[in-house]
Amino acid sequence: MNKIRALIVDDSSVMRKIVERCLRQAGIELEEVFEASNGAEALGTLRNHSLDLVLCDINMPVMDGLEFVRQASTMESAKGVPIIMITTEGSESYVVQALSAGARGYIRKPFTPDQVKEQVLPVLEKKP
Amino acid sequence: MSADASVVVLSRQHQWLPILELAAQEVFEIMLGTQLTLTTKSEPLQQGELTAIVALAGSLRGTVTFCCGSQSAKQIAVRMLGAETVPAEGQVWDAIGEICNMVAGNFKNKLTGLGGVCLLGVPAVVTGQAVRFHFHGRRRFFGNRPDIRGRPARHSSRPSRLTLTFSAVSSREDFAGWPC
Repeated sequence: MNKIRALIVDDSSVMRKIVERCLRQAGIELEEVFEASNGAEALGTLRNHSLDLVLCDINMPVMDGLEFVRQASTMESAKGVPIIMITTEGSESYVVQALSAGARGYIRKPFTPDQVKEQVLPVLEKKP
Repeated sequence: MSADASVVVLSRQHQWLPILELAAQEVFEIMLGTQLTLTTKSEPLQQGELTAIVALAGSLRGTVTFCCGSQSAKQIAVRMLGAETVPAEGQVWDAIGEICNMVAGNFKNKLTGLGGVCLLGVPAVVTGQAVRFHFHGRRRFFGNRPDIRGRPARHSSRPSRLTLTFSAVSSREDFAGWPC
């Protein structure tokens, strides 16, 4: 697998570091890692950079993760970029909302590095 | 079983506490690689220097709070960020806010039959002691707050005290079926 460019969206800077570490532990080589602390910032990054993967929280100030996924799914620059949710919101209704909005995976916090690997690797392998 | 019936079953304080304990233990084990050891109920409540707060809204309203001393908070941040990192003050606040957030979310996810959508707020962290919480609710369901007083094993040579509290309040009719 080639090196990837990933965007990690979470209002917690500590959680962004943990997610990045999990990606590295999964054996994913990261060419560049972008960070955003809410959905609005993430949309800006998505507009201006070519990305291979987005990992996104749901509960965030300014713009939440579900709204981010909805808006990202209409953006030309985000076409084909897989978005995986990483969130404490584990209820079925959130999973359904996220997946119907265009998310490709759903990881519940707390999570292990293996759970991140299980969700992320198949999505990256399928990416054209 | 209808949603209302399962809510009634869950509404007793002694049935919520094990769920909160399990939620906290899972978060500490998975995210920090450590185990919580519950202390006895007779130990006096110790005020922490940092308090993280996550609000629950919707069909279950209340707060989950997590209190600990500054050294414990720093150790939590180090465990989350990696041993090679010296966490900045903001990262320490961020770390305990996120721990509280995960415990609240894990707790909420384990409660079945809430009878509606329950939302989590963004975590807030307060520094200082003698923090008091006031709730704007027409009815209060628990005279006592179920709380966990735990010591994270292997965090330091001298075990530190952590306090986790869940307080439920509601002013909504969603809880019409709950015994008060």
